[in-house]
Amino acid sequence: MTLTDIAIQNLRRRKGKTLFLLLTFILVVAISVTLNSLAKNMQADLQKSLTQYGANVVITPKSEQFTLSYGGLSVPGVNYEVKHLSAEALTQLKSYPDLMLNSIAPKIIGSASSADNRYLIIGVDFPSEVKMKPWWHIEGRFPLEQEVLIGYGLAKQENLVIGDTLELNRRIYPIVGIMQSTGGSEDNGVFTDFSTARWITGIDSWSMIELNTAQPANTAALLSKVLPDAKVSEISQLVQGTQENIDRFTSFSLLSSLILGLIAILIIFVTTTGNINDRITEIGIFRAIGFRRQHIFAIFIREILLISLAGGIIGYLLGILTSALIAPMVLQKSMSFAFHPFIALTAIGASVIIGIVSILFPAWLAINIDPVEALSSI
Amino acid sequence: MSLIKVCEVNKSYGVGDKIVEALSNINLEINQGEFLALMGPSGSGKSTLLSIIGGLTPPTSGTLQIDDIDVYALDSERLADFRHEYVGFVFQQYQLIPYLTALENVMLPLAITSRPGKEQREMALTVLDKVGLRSKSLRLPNQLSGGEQNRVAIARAIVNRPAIIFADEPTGSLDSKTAKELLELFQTLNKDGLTIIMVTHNEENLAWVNRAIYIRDGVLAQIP
Ligand SMILES: Nc1ncnc2c1ncn2[C@@H]1O[C@H](COP(=O)(O)OP(=O)(O)OP(=O)(O)O)[C@@H](O)[C@H]1O
Ligand SMILES: [Mg+2]
Repeated sequence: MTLTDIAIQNLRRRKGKTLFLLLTFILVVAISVTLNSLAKNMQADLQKSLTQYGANVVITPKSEQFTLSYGGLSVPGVNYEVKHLSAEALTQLKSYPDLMLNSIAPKIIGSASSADNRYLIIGVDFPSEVKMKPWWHIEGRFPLEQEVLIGYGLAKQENLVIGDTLELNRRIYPIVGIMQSTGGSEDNGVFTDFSTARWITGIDSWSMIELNTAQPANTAALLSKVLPDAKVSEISQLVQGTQENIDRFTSFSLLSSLILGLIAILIIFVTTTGNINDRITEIGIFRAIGFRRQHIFAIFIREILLISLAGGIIGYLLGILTSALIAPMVLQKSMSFAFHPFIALTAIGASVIIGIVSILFPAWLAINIDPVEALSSI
Repeated sequence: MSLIKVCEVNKSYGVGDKIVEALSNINLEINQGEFLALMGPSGSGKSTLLSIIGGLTPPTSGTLQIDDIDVYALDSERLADFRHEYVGFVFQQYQLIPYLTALENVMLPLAITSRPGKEQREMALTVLDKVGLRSKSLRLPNQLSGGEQNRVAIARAIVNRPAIIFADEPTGSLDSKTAKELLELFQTLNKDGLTIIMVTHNEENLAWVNRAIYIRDGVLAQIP
């Protein structure tokens, strides 16, 4: 028999008290884990939508007529007085390293016509574009010089397939790829590389530059100053608001966990201190038999370690289960049973620390019990 | 050769403003292998003397030497080690740990040794056999009769092979048949070389012991 065995037998055979302490740990850990996993999932969701959003800052020319909402690229053709960004804008942009730009996607946007149609020409750098818009799915391949890739809508409408050709401003271009439907303005576009786009449209600067940055607000503000002739718009105001709400919920979760932890310390402290009275005789026996103070202390520590560890683990599991169950109500979407090692370790670690902190004083009382007085009559 | 030397021991308790003299000027020598009875009226200081000799209560003044160790010069942790090594107690209310089985209670003094679990079990089962309780070794204290609990307490007191057993009225709550069995057990243990010091009220128990000492109002009165 070891001191651990003594601790285990005490916990096993004093079921009521053990269960009460265990429940305290489980509840506190489960509630904290639920709140914090919800917060973490909201963060992760937002992060995902931020990157999926692609561009969160758009630089366009200051032009009354050229209204460009990203949802629907207004095509010149209605408007021939299109202005463009200066050719230096891109170089200027790249000379500011502290903008924290994840990706830069400049574009040349213009129009071209065939005998009976008008087309939206979009000149892009395909690698930059795909980095920003990972949802682009291409059938075929990206076009090289003097080749084009067309949107799904256009292909459908004109009955075009890979290998067909497209007449643009009286020249014939082979179609080497079709972009699957994005539901956006890409569906009706004709994509080419920069030089081809310049050749077709005659535009020798940039029509717009899309940026993805970690700090859209700061970047937009700074760029407005750097590029006075351009219109810099941040297209993540909505995301920003969400971010603030999530930050608030995260703080709330952390604060609640902290308060719950303190309440747990208080509950365990009070109950274990109270239980000492029931254990005075027992401790007197241990001391009379020749147990040192450290042995008694070790029994107390082992008891609380076992309970807090079990409570922490069960509480953690219950917490992620609960968060997965209530996520559909709170987040309007389902959440998987994600294992966050950080939350797991923090939850179980905090549980153990709560246990040890709250046991210190009662254990100190216990080790200072005088065996003779405890046994009243030996 | 005396194993225990009690020298000029006084013990007083402060109760409120008053001081109660529980023991005055006790001098006593006990030999290795003695079976000693400590007798006297209630409140005379028997339990106090027993717990002083057992290394549980420091005297107000005076010294206790056991095996040439100045017991109360030891710090409290060394004193615990001393009790562990030299002393086994049989308490009047048996004082078994309620959540441990008979076997586990007997193993208790071994739990703080480095002996492996298997050896602890064997030692505990051997002494439980000696007190006739091997078959009930897996019962909890509340599943045992008073006499059986008493025997578990004795098994626990002797399992670590101490030099001295202290028993405070071990027969106090037993019927005469069970009391006789207990005294026989003590006698057997004593014949094996164990020194036993037993507080008792009962004159009949004197038939079993080598020597009796009497105490009255905290003063020793050795009666032949
Ligand atoms: N912790 C204590 N505080 C104050 N007085 C005490 C304490 N312990 C014992 N006494 C007093 O010391 C005296 C001796 O007590 P002790 O318990 O040794 O008597 P006893 O001979 O064992 O009596 P009994 O036969 O009733 O068990 C008594 O007067 C008792 O009231
Ligand atoms: Mg007494």
